[in-house]
Amino acid sequence: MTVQILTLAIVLGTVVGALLYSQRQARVASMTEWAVGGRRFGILIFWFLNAGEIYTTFAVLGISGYAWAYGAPAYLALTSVSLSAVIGYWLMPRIWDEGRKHNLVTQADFFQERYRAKWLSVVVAAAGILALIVYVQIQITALSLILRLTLGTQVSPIASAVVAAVAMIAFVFIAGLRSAAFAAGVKDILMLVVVVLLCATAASKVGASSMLDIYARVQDMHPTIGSFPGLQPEAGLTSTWLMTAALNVALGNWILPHLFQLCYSAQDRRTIRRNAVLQPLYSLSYFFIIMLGFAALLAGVDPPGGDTNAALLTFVTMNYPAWAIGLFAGTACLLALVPGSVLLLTAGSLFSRNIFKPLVPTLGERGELLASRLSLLVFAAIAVWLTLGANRSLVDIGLSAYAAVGMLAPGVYFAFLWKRANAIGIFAGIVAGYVALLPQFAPMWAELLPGFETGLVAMAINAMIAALVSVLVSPVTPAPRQAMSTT
Amino acid sequence: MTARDYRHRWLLLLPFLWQVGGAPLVNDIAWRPLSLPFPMVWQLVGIIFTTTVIAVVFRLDERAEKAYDEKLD
Repeated sequence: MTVQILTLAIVLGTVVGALLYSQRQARVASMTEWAVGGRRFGILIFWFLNAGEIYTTFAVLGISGYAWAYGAPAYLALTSVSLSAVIGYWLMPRIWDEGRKHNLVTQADFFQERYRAKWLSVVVAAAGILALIVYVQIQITALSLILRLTLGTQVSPIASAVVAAVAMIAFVFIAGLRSAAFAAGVKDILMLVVVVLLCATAASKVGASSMLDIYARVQDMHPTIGSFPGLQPEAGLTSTWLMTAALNVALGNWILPHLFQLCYSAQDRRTIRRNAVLQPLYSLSYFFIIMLGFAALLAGVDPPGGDTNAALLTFVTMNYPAWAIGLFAGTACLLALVPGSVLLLTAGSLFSRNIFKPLVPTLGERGELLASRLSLLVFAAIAVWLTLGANRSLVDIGLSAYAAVGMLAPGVYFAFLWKRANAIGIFAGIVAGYVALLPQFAPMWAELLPGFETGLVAMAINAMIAALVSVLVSPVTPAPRQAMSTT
Repeated sequence: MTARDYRHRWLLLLPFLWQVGGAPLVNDIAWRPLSLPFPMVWQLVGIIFTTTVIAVVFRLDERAEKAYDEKLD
Protein backbone atom coordinates (compact mmCIF):
# COMPACT_ATOMS: atom_id res chain seq x y z
CA MET A 1 0.00 0.00 0.00
CA THR A 2 2.85 2.37 0.76
CA VAL A 3 3.95 2.14 -2.83
CA GLN A 4 0.59 3.05 -4.25
CA ILE A 5 0.05 5.89 -1.82
CA LEU A 6 3.41 7.46 -2.41
CA THR A 7 3.16 7.17 -6.19
CA LEU A 8 -0.26 8.76 -6.21
CA ALA A 9 0.80 11.45 -3.76
CA ILE A 10 3.71 12.53 -5.90
CA VAL A 11 1.69 12.69 -9.06
CA LEU A 12 -1.34 14.42 -7.57
CA GLY A 13 0.82 16.79 -5.58
CA THR A 14 2.56 17.91 -8.73
CA VAL A 15 -0.71 18.33 -10.59
CA VAL A 16 -2.18 20.50 -7.85
CA GLY A 17 1.02 22.50 -7.57
CA ALA A 18 1.13 23.06 -11.30
CA LEU A 19 -2.49 24.19 -11.37
CA LEU A 20 -1.99 26.62 -8.50
CA TYR A 21 1.16 27.95 -10.09
CA SER A 22 -0.50 28.55 -13.42
CA GLN A 23 -3.55 30.21 -11.84
CA ARG A 24 -1.27 32.74 -10.25
CA GLN A 25 0.12 33.58 -13.65
CA ALA A 26 -1.74 35.45 -16.40
CA ARG A 27 -5.15 34.22 -17.38
CA VAL A 28 -5.11 32.11 -20.48
CA ALA A 29 -7.17 33.76 -23.14
CA SER A 30 -5.36 33.05 -26.30
CA MET A 31 -3.60 30.32 -28.21
CA THR A 32 -0.34 32.21 -28.06
CA GLU A 33 -0.46 32.40 -24.32
CA TRP A 34 -1.37 28.75 -24.06
CA ALA A 35 1.08 27.41 -26.57
CA VAL A 36 4.19 29.58 -26.25
CA GLY A 37 3.69 31.09 -22.81
CA GLY A 38 3.48 34.59 -24.17
CA ARG A 39 7.08 34.63 -25.41
CA ARG A 40 8.45 35.69 -22.05
CA PHE A 41 10.37 32.71 -20.77
CA GLY A 42 13.67 33.66 -19.26
CA ILE A 43 16.69 31.46 -18.76
CA LEU A 44 15.37 29.57 -15.74
CA ILE A 45 12.09 28.31 -17.13
CA PHE A 46 13.62 27.75 -20.55
CA TRP A 47 16.32 25.69 -18.84
CA PHE A 48 13.86 23.48 -17.00
CA LEU A 49 11.77 22.85 -20.04
CA ASN A 50 14.89 21.92 -21.96
CA ALA A 51 16.44 19.81 -19.25
CA GLY A 52 13.07 18.22 -18.80
CA GLU A 53 13.28 17.04 -22.35
CA ILE A 54 16.43 15.15 -21.52
CA TYR A 55 15.05 13.38 -18.49
CA THR A 56 12.22 11.52 -20.05
CA THR A 57 11.25 7.91 -19.90
CA PHE A 58 13.16 7.32 -23.12
CA ALA A 59 16.22 8.47 -21.28
CA VAL A 60 15.89 6.86 -17.90
CA LEU A 61 14.00 3.64 -18.50
CA GLY A 62 14.97 3.24 -22.13
CA ILE A 63 18.69 3.85 -21.77
CA SER A 64 19.10 1.86 -18.57
CA GLY A 65 17.22 -0.93 -20.32
CA TYR A 66 19.56 -0.65 -23.29
CA ALA A 67 22.57 -0.83 -20.99
CA TRP A 68 21.11 -3.92 -19.34
CA ALA A 69 20.34 -5.61 -22.65
CA TYR A 70 23.14 -4.44 -24.93
CA GLY A 71 25.79 -2.47 -23.05
CA ALA A 72 27.75 -0.04 -25.24
CA PRO A 73 24.78 1.01 -27.43
CA ALA A 74 23.51 2.93 -24.40
CA TYR A 75 26.28 5.46 -25.09
CA LEU A 76 23.86 6.88 -27.66
CA ALA A 77 22.59 9.10 -24.86
CA LEU A 78 26.07 10.47 -24.24
CA THR A 79 26.60 11.35 -27.87
CA SER A 80 23.26 12.59 -29.09
CA VAL A 81 22.50 15.15 -26.38
CA SER A 82 25.73 17.11 -26.67
CA LEU A 83 25.68 17.09 -30.46
CA SER A 84 22.11 18.29 -30.56
CA ALA A 85 23.20 21.16 -28.30
CA VAL A 86 25.80 22.15 -30.90
CA ILE A 87 23.20 22.16 -33.64
CA GLY A 88 20.78 23.95 -31.37
CA TYR A 89 23.27 26.74 -30.80
CA TRP A 90 23.26 27.42 -34.52
CA LEU A 91 19.64 26.64 -35.32
CA MET A 92 17.53 27.81 -32.39
CA PRO A 93 18.28 31.55 -32.52
CA ARG A 94 17.33 31.54 -36.19
CA ILE A 95 14.01 29.89 -35.45
CA TRP A 96 13.43 32.29 -32.56
CA ASP A 97 14.15 35.29 -34.74
CA GLU A 98 11.75 34.17 -37.44
CA GLY A 99 9.10 33.46 -34.84
CA ARG A 100 9.44 36.90 -33.39
CA LYS A 101 9.50 38.76 -36.66
CA HIS A 102 6.45 37.09 -38.14
CA ASN A 103 4.50 36.23 -35.00
CA LEU A 104 4.74 32.50 -35.54
CA VAL A 105 3.12 30.10 -33.12
CA THR A 106 3.66 26.67 -34.59
CA GLN A 107 6.22 24.83 -36.66
CA ALA A 108 3.87 24.68 -39.64
CA ASP A 109 3.53 28.50 -39.50
CA PHE A 110 7.26 28.63 -40.15
CA PHE A 111 6.99 26.54 -43.29
CA GLN A 112 4.09 28.60 -44.55
CA GLU A 113 5.96 31.83 -43.96
CA ARG A 114 9.22 30.77 -45.55
CA TYR A 115 7.91 28.76 -48.49
CA ARG A 116 4.84 30.87 -49.09
CA ALA A 117 2.57 27.85 -49.42
CA LYS A 118 -0.36 27.18 -47.15
CA TRP A 119 -0.80 23.67 -48.51
CA LEU A 120 2.73 22.80 -47.47
CA SER A 121 2.03 23.90 -43.92
CA VAL A 122 -0.90 21.47 -43.77
CA VAL A 123 1.38 18.62 -44.88
CA VAL A 124 4.02 19.67 -42.37
CA ALA A 125 1.48 19.90 -39.57
CA ALA A 126 0.29 16.38 -40.35
CA ALA A 127 3.85 15.06 -40.44
CA GLY A 128 4.64 16.80 -37.20
CA ILE A 129 1.55 15.42 -35.50
CA LEU A 130 2.48 11.92 -36.64
CA ALA A 131 5.94 12.20 -35.11
CA LEU A 132 4.45 13.59 -31.91
CA ILE A 133 1.96 10.76 -31.60
CA VAL A 134 4.78 8.22 -31.90
CA TYR A 135 6.65 10.11 -29.19
CA VAL A 136 3.54 10.10 -26.99
CA GLN A 137 3.41 6.36 -27.53
CA ILE A 138 6.73 6.16 -25.70
CA GLN A 139 5.34 7.95 -22.69
CA ILE A 140 2.14 5.95 -22.56
CA THR A 141 4.04 2.68 -22.96
CA ALA A 142 6.29 3.67 -20.09
CA LEU A 143 3.52 4.98 -17.87
CA SER A 144 1.29 1.96 -18.28
CA LEU A 145 4.28 -0.28 -17.58
CA ILE A 146 5.00 1.57 -14.35
CA LEU A 147 1.39 1.36 -13.30
CA ARG A 148 1.26 -2.36 -13.94
CA LEU A 149 4.56 -3.26 -12.32
CA THR A 150 4.29 -1.21 -9.18
CA LEU A 151 0.60 -1.20 -8.52
CA GLY A 152 0.06 -4.89 -9.02
CA THR A 153 -0.67 -7.03 -12.03
CA GLN A 154 -4.43 -6.79 -11.62
CA VAL A 155 -4.30 -3.65 -13.72
CA SER A 156 -4.82 -4.69 -17.34
CA PRO A 157 -2.67 -3.22 -20.13
CA ILE A 158 -5.64 -1.48 -21.67
CA ALA A 159 -6.79 0.09 -18.43
CA SER A 160 -3.32 1.28 -17.50
CA ALA A 161 -2.73 2.79 -20.93
CA VAL A 162 -6.05 4.62 -20.79
CA VAL A 163 -5.38 5.89 -17.27
CA ALA A 164 -1.99 7.09 -18.46
CA ALA A 165 -3.57 9.00 -21.33
CA VAL A 166 -6.27 10.52 -19.13
CA ALA A 167 -3.68 11.69 -16.61
CA MET A 168 -1.66 13.35 -19.35
CA ILE A 169 -4.68 15.14 -20.71
CA ALA A 170 -5.66 16.38 -17.27
CA PHE A 171 -2.17 17.76 -16.81
CA VAL A 172 -2.31 19.99 -19.82
CA PHE A 173 -5.94 21.00 -20.12
CA ILE A 174 -6.09 23.95 -17.81
CA ALA A 175 -3.16 26.20 -18.52
CA GLY A 176 -0.99 24.79 -21.25
CA LEU A 177 2.73 25.34 -21.30
CA ARG A 178 3.05 27.09 -17.96
CA SER A 179 1.79 24.18 -15.88
CA ALA A 180 4.19 21.93 -17.74
CA ALA A 181 7.06 24.22 -16.78
CA PHE A 182 6.28 23.94 -13.08
CA ALA A 183 5.80 20.19 -13.27
CA ALA A 184 9.05 19.88 -15.18
CA GLY A 185 10.83 21.60 -12.32
CA VAL A 186 9.34 19.21 -9.76
CA LYS A 187 10.15 16.27 -11.99
CA ASP A 188 13.79 17.25 -12.34
CA ILE A 189 14.28 17.75 -8.62
CA LEU A 190 12.66 14.43 -7.79
CA MET A 191 14.66 12.69 -10.50
CA LEU A 192 17.83 14.02 -8.94
CA VAL A 193 16.81 12.70 -5.53
CA VAL A 194 15.85 9.31 -6.89
CA VAL A 195 19.01 8.88 -8.95
CA VAL A 196 21.24 9.90 -6.08
CA LEU A 197 19.43 7.47 -3.79
CA LEU A 198 19.62 4.58 -6.24
CA CYS A 199 23.25 5.18 -7.08
CA ALA A 200 24.37 5.46 -3.51
CA THR A 201 22.84 2.09 -2.71
CA ALA A 202 23.07 0.12 -5.94
CA ALA A 203 26.60 -1.07 -5.38
CA SER A 204 25.85 -2.75 -2.09
CA LYS A 205 22.72 -4.34 -3.53
CA VAL A 206 24.73 -6.19 -6.12
CA GLY A 207 27.77 -7.00 -4.03
CA ALA A 208 30.08 -4.41 -5.52
CA SER A 209 32.30 -2.18 -3.44
CA SER A 210 31.59 1.09 -5.24
CA MET A 211 29.95 2.57 -8.31
CA LEU A 212 33.12 2.16 -10.32
CA ASP A 213 33.29 -1.41 -9.09
CA ILE A 214 29.92 -2.06 -10.73
CA TYR A 215 31.50 -1.15 -14.03
CA ALA A 216 34.52 -3.31 -13.28
CA ARG A 217 32.43 -6.33 -12.37
CA VAL A 218 30.07 -6.10 -15.28
CA GLN A 219 32.98 -5.93 -17.70
CA ASP A 220 34.59 -8.91 -16.01
CA MET A 221 31.36 -10.84 -16.33
CA HIS A 222 30.75 -9.75 -19.93
CA PRO A 223 34.03 -8.67 -21.51
CA THR A 224 32.45 -7.39 -24.71
CA ILE A 225 29.89 -5.18 -23.04
CA GLY A 226 31.85 -1.92 -23.02
CA SER A 227 32.54 -1.79 -26.75
CA PHE A 228 30.38 -1.98 -29.80
CA PRO A 229 28.47 -4.06 -30.83
CA GLY A 230 27.88 -4.86 -27.18
CA LEU A 231 26.20 -7.89 -25.66
CA GLN A 232 24.03 -8.91 -28.59
CA PRO A 233 25.92 -8.52 -31.87
CA GLU A 234 22.97 -9.92 -33.80
CA ALA A 235 21.03 -6.76 -32.99
CA GLY A 236 23.33 -4.86 -35.36
CA LEU A 237 24.16 -2.05 -32.94
CA THR A 238 27.68 -1.32 -34.17
CA SER A 239 29.72 1.83 -33.91
CA THR A 240 28.35 2.76 -37.33
CA TRP A 241 24.91 2.54 -35.79
CA LEU A 242 26.03 4.86 -33.00
CA MET A 243 27.42 7.39 -35.45
CA THR A 244 24.36 7.46 -37.66
CA ALA A 245 21.78 7.24 -34.89
CA ALA A 246 23.44 10.03 -32.91
CA LEU A 247 23.55 12.22 -36.02
CA ASN A 248 19.91 11.43 -36.73
CA VAL A 249 18.90 12.45 -33.22
CA ALA A 250 21.11 15.55 -33.21
CA LEU A 251 19.81 16.77 -36.56
CA GLY A 252 16.22 15.89 -35.80
CA ASN A 253 16.06 17.04 -32.20
CA TRP A 254 15.05 20.65 -32.77
CA ILE A 255 12.75 19.62 -35.57
CA LEU A 256 10.48 17.88 -33.08
CA PRO A 257 7.53 20.25 -33.15
CA HIS A 258 7.41 20.91 -29.42
CA LEU A 259 11.11 21.72 -29.22
CA PHE A 260 10.94 23.75 -32.42
CA GLN A 261 8.15 25.80 -30.92
CA LEU A 262 9.99 26.07 -27.62
CA CYS A 263 12.45 28.30 -29.45
CA TYR A 264 9.68 30.83 -30.00
CA SER A 265 9.12 31.20 -26.28
CA ALA A 266 12.58 32.41 -25.33
CA GLN A 267 13.11 35.98 -24.24
CA ASP A 268 16.16 36.62 -26.35
CA ARG A 269 18.96 35.09 -28.33
CA ARG A 270 21.35 35.11 -25.42
CA THR A 271 19.03 32.90 -23.34
CA ILE A 272 19.06 30.32 -26.09
CA ARG A 273 22.79 30.39 -26.57
CA ARG A 274 23.61 30.15 -22.88
CA ASN A 275 21.28 27.20 -22.61
CA ALA A 276 23.12 25.48 -25.45
CA VAL A 277 26.44 25.89 -23.67
CA LEU A 278 25.29 24.01 -20.60
CA GLN A 279 23.02 21.48 -22.19
CA PRO A 280 25.66 18.85 -22.93
CA LEU A 281 26.54 18.71 -19.25
CA TYR A 282 23.11 17.33 -18.37
CA SER A 283 23.95 14.19 -20.24
CA LEU A 284 26.88 13.44 -17.95
CA SER A 285 24.23 12.14 -15.59
CA TYR A 286 23.72 9.25 -17.99
CA PHE A 287 26.83 7.86 -16.44
CA PHE A 288 24.59 6.97 -13.50
CA ILE A 289 21.70 5.74 -15.62
CA ILE A 290 23.97 3.38 -17.51
CA MET A 291 25.53 2.26 -14.24
CA LEU A 292 22.08 1.38 -12.92
CA GLY A 293 21.40 -0.67 -16.03
CA PHE A 294 24.65 -2.54 -15.47
CA ALA A 295 23.77 -3.04 -11.81
CA ALA A 296 20.51 -4.61 -12.88
CA LEU A 297 22.49 -6.94 -15.13
CA LEU A 298 24.79 -7.91 -12.28
CA ALA A 299 21.77 -8.56 -10.08
CA GLY A 300 20.47 -11.00 -12.64
CA VAL A 301 17.28 -9.06 -13.13
CA ASP A 302 14.82 -10.86 -15.35
CA PRO A 303 11.86 -8.62 -16.15
CA PRO A 304 8.54 -10.15 -17.19
CA GLY A 305 8.59 -11.01 -20.86
CA GLY A 306 12.19 -9.89 -21.23
CA ASP A 307 10.94 -6.33 -21.60
CA THR A 308 14.05 -4.12 -21.68
CA ASN A 309 12.01 -1.13 -20.57
CA ALA A 310 11.23 -2.89 -17.32
CA ALA A 311 14.81 -3.70 -16.35
CA LEU A 312 15.36 -0.79 -13.99
CA LEU A 313 11.86 -0.98 -12.54
CA THR A 314 12.27 -4.66 -11.81
CA PHE A 315 15.64 -4.05 -10.21
CA VAL A 316 14.08 -1.47 -7.90
CA THR A 317 11.03 -3.52 -6.98
CA MET A 318 13.21 -6.53 -6.17
CA ASN A 319 15.81 -4.81 -4.04
CA TYR A 320 14.35 -1.77 -2.37
CA PRO A 321 11.85 -1.04 0.42
CA ALA A 322 8.29 0.00 -0.37
CA TRP A 323 8.79 3.72 0.19
CA ALA A 324 11.69 3.82 -2.25
CA ILE A 325 9.70 1.93 -4.86
CA GLY A 326 6.86 4.40 -4.41
CA LEU A 327 9.19 7.34 -4.76
CA PHE A 328 10.74 5.87 -7.89
CA ALA A 329 7.38 4.97 -9.40
CA GLY A 330 5.90 8.40 -8.71
CA THR A 331 8.89 10.13 -10.24
CA ALA A 332 8.87 7.80 -13.23
CA CYS A 333 5.21 8.66 -13.72
CA LEU A 334 6.12 12.32 -13.87
CA LEU A 335 8.86 11.50 -16.33
CA ALA A 336 6.14 10.23 -18.64
CA LEU A 337 3.34 12.64 -17.79
CA VAL A 338 5.14 15.94 -18.18
CA PRO A 339 6.74 15.42 -21.59
CA GLY A 340 3.60 13.60 -22.73
CA SER A 341 1.48 16.64 -21.91
CA VAL A 342 3.79 18.96 -23.78
CA LEU A 343 3.67 16.66 -26.78
CA LEU A 344 -0.12 16.48 -26.81
CA LEU A 345 -0.34 20.22 -26.35
CA THR A 346 1.88 20.78 -29.34
CA ALA A 347 -0.04 18.33 -31.48
CA GLY A 348 -3.33 19.97 -30.55
CA SER A 349 -2.16 23.47 -31.38
CA LEU A 350 -0.63 22.29 -34.65
CA PHE A 351 -3.90 20.69 -35.63
CA SER A 352 -6.22 23.54 -34.78
CA ARG A 353 -4.06 26.27 -36.20
CA ASN A 354 -2.58 24.67 -39.28
CA ILE A 355 -5.07 22.03 -40.34
CA PHE A 356 -8.45 22.97 -38.93
CA LYS A 357 -8.33 26.75 -39.18
CA PRO A 358 -7.49 26.80 -42.89
CA LEU A 359 -10.66 24.78 -43.36
CA VAL A 360 -12.79 27.08 -41.18
CA PRO A 361 -11.32 30.57 -41.67
CA THR A 362 -13.89 32.28 -39.45
CA LEU A 363 -12.63 30.41 -36.40
CA GLY A 364 -11.87 32.81 -33.55
CA GLU A 365 -9.25 32.58 -30.83
CA ARG A 366 -11.55 30.68 -28.51
CA GLY A 367 -12.66 28.33 -31.25
CA GLU A 368 -9.04 27.60 -32.02
CA LEU A 369 -8.40 26.79 -28.39
CA LEU A 370 -11.37 24.46 -28.27
CA ALA A 371 -10.41 22.63 -31.47
CA SER A 372 -6.94 22.23 -30.13
CA ARG A 373 -8.13 20.66 -26.91
CA LEU A 374 -10.58 18.32 -28.60
CA SER A 375 -8.07 17.11 -31.15
CA LEU A 376 -5.57 16.28 -28.47
CA LEU A 377 -8.06 13.80 -27.05
CA VAL A 378 -8.06 12.05 -30.41
CA PHE A 379 -4.28 11.99 -30.63
CA ALA A 380 -4.01 10.55 -27.14
CA ALA A 381 -6.43 7.82 -28.17
CA ILE A 382 -4.35 6.99 -31.25
CA ALA A 383 -1.23 6.81 -29.12
CA VAL A 384 -2.98 4.42 -26.72
CA TRP A 385 -4.01 2.25 -29.66
CA LEU A 386 -0.42 2.20 -30.96
CA THR A 387 0.83 1.26 -27.50
CA LEU A 388 -1.42 -1.75 -27.28
CA GLY A 389 -0.25 -3.04 -30.62
CA ALA A 390 3.50 -2.99 -29.98
CA ASN A 391 6.01 -4.14 -27.40
CA ARG A 392 9.29 -2.51 -28.26
CA SER A 393 12.08 -0.85 -26.38
CA LEU A 394 11.43 2.82 -25.64
CA VAL A 395 14.69 3.62 -27.37
CA ASP A 396 13.54 1.90 -30.55
CA ILE A 397 10.20 3.70 -30.54
CA GLY A 398 12.12 6.89 -29.90
CA LEU A 399 14.35 6.33 -32.89
CA SER A 400 11.21 5.81 -35.00
CA ALA A 401 9.91 9.15 -33.78
CA TYR A 402 13.19 10.76 -34.77
CA ALA A 403 13.03 9.05 -38.15
CA ALA A 404 9.51 10.42 -38.65
CA VAL A 405 10.41 13.93 -37.63
CA GLY A 406 13.59 13.80 -39.67
CA MET A 407 11.28 14.13 -42.67
CA LEU A 408 10.86 17.78 -41.82
CA ALA A 409 14.54 18.42 -41.18
CA PRO A 410 15.63 19.21 -44.76
CA GLY A 411 12.79 21.72 -44.99
CA VAL A 412 14.02 23.55 -41.91
CA TYR A 413 17.73 23.52 -42.69
CA PHE A 414 17.25 24.48 -46.33
CA ALA A 415 15.03 27.33 -45.18
CA PHE A 416 18.08 28.94 -43.59
CA LEU A 417 20.84 27.74 -45.86
CA TRP A 418 19.54 27.79 -49.40
CA LYS A 419 17.42 30.48 -51.00
CA ARG A 420 16.32 28.36 -53.92
CA ALA A 421 14.55 25.74 -51.82
CA ASN A 422 10.85 25.92 -52.63
CA ALA A 423 7.59 24.38 -51.47
CA ILE A 424 7.27 21.80 -54.23
CA GLY A 425 10.82 20.61 -53.77
CA ILE A 426 10.42 20.26 -50.02
CA PHE A 427 7.18 18.38 -50.48
CA ALA A 428 8.80 15.98 -52.96
CA GLY A 429 11.58 15.43 -50.46
CA ILE A 430 9.13 14.61 -47.69
CA VAL A 431 7.34 12.07 -49.86
CA ALA A 432 10.61 10.47 -50.94
CA GLY A 433 11.72 10.31 -47.32
CA TYR A 434 8.58 8.55 -46.13
CA VAL A 435 8.90 6.07 -48.99
CA ALA A 436 12.46 5.36 -47.93
CA LEU A 437 11.21 4.66 -44.41
CA LEU A 438 8.77 1.98 -45.53
CA PRO A 439 9.59 -1.38 -43.97
CA GLN A 440 9.85 -2.93 -47.43
CA PHE A 441 13.06 -1.04 -48.05
CA ALA A 442 14.74 -1.88 -44.77
CA PRO A 443 16.56 -4.99 -46.08
CA MET A 444 17.86 -2.97 -49.03
CA TRP A 445 19.35 -0.28 -46.78
CA ALA A 446 20.79 -2.92 -44.49
CA GLU A 447 22.65 -4.39 -47.45
CA LEU A 448 23.80 -1.16 -49.08
CA LEU A 449 24.67 0.63 -45.87
CA PRO A 450 25.18 -1.93 -43.11
CA GLY A 451 24.67 -0.60 -39.63
CA PHE A 452 23.25 2.74 -40.77
CA GLU A 453 20.29 4.09 -38.83
CA THR A 454 17.40 4.08 -41.31
CA GLY A 455 16.15 7.49 -40.22
CA LEU A 456 19.37 9.12 -41.31
CA VAL A 457 19.31 7.37 -44.68
CA ALA A 458 15.75 8.55 -45.27
CA MET A 459 16.68 12.09 -44.24
CA ALA A 460 19.57 12.12 -46.72
CA ILE A 461 17.35 10.87 -49.54
CA ASN A 462 14.76 13.45 -48.56
CA ALA A 463 17.33 16.23 -48.77
CA MET A 464 18.70 15.11 -52.13
CA ILE A 465 15.27 14.85 -53.73
CA ALA A 466 14.22 18.17 -52.23
CA ALA A 467 17.30 19.86 -53.69
CA LEU A 468 16.86 18.22 -57.09
CA VAL A 469 13.18 19.04 -57.43
CA SER A 470 13.65 22.56 -56.10
CA VAL A 471 16.14 23.27 -58.83
CA LEU A 472 13.97 21.66 -61.50
CA VAL A 473 10.81 23.60 -60.67
CA SER A 474 12.35 26.93 -59.73
CA PRO A 475 11.65 28.48 -63.16
CA VAL A 476 7.93 28.00 -62.58
CA THR A 477 7.64 29.02 -58.91
CA PRO A 478 7.42 32.58 -57.54
CA ALA A 479 10.65 34.36 -56.62
CA PRO A 480 11.98 33.45 -53.17
CA ARG A 481 11.53 35.70 -50.13
CA GLN A 482 14.26 38.01 -48.96
CA ALA A 483 17.10 36.22 -47.20
CA MET A 484 16.51 35.24 -43.59
CA SER A 485 18.53 36.92 -40.89
CA THR A 486 21.62 34.99 -39.89
CA THR A 487 22.79 34.74 -36.34
CA MET B 1 29.64 48.41 -43.47
CA THR B 2 31.75 45.44 -42.45
CA ALA B 3 29.93 42.24 -41.63
CA ARG B 4 30.27 40.50 -38.28
CA ASP B 5 33.08 37.95 -38.26
CA TYR B 6 31.65 34.50 -37.60
CA ARG B 7 34.49 32.39 -38.92
CA HIS B 8 35.13 30.97 -35.45
CA ARG B 9 31.83 29.14 -35.84
CA TRP B 10 33.69 26.39 -37.71
CA LEU B 11 34.91 25.29 -34.28
CA LEU B 12 31.45 23.81 -33.82
CA LEU B 13 32.46 20.95 -36.10
CA LEU B 14 35.02 19.70 -33.59
CA PRO B 15 32.54 17.99 -31.24
CA PHE B 16 31.29 15.94 -34.19
CA LEU B 17 34.80 14.85 -35.02
CA TRP B 18 35.37 13.78 -31.44
CA GLN B 19 32.13 12.06 -30.54
CA VAL B 20 31.04 10.71 -33.90
CA GLY B 21 34.27 10.44 -35.87
CA GLY B 22 36.21 9.16 -32.90
CA ALA B 23 33.77 6.43 -31.92
CA PRO B 24 34.93 3.66 -34.25
CA LEU B 25 38.58 4.61 -33.73
CA VAL B 26 38.51 4.13 -29.97
CA ASN B 27 36.16 1.18 -29.87
CA ASP B 28 38.77 -1.51 -29.39
CA ILE B 29 41.02 0.18 -26.88
CA ALA B 30 41.20 -2.11 -23.89
CA TRP B 31 42.43 0.37 -21.29
CA ARG B 32 39.93 0.98 -18.49
CA PRO B 33 40.46 4.37 -16.87
CA LEU B 34 38.86 4.25 -13.41
CA SER B 35 37.52 0.80 -14.31
CA LEU B 36 35.32 2.35 -17.00
CA PRO B 37 35.17 1.12 -20.60
CA PHE B 38 37.35 3.36 -22.74
CA PRO B 39 34.71 4.06 -25.42
CA MET B 40 32.45 5.34 -22.65
CA VAL B 41 35.15 7.56 -21.17
CA TRP B 42 35.78 8.90 -24.67
CA GLN B 43 32.15 10.02 -24.92
CA LEU B 44 32.11 11.42 -21.37
CA VAL B 45 35.20 13.52 -21.99
CA GLY B 46 33.68 14.38 -25.36
CA ILE B 47 30.71 15.92 -23.56
CA ILE B 48 32.96 18.18 -21.55
CA PHE B 49 34.89 19.04 -24.69
CA THR B 50 31.65 19.94 -26.48
CA THR B 51 30.49 22.24 -23.71
CA THR B 52 33.87 23.96 -23.78
CA VAL B 53 33.72 24.44 -27.54
CA ILE B 54 30.22 25.90 -27.41
CA ALA B 55 31.27 28.19 -24.55
CA VAL B 56 34.25 29.42 -26.53
CA VAL B 57 32.09 30.08 -29.58
CA PHE B 58 29.58 31.89 -27.37
CA ARG B 59 32.26 34.21 -26.05
CA LEU B 60 33.68 34.86 -29.49
CA ASP B 61 30.19 35.55 -30.81
CA GLU B 62 29.57 38.10 -28.07
CA ARG B 63 32.85 39.77 -28.83
CA ALA B 64 32.20 39.88 -32.56
CA GLU B 65 28.73 41.29 -32.04
CA LYS B 66 29.88 43.90 -29.58
CA ALA B 67 32.60 45.01 -31.98
CA TYR B 68 30.04 45.26 -34.75
CA ASP B 69 27.60 47.26 -32.64
CA GLU B 70 30.36 49.62 -31.58
CA LYS B 71 31.36 50.18 -35.19
CA LEU B 72 27.81 51.22 -35.94
CA ASP B 73 27.84 54.08 -33.43
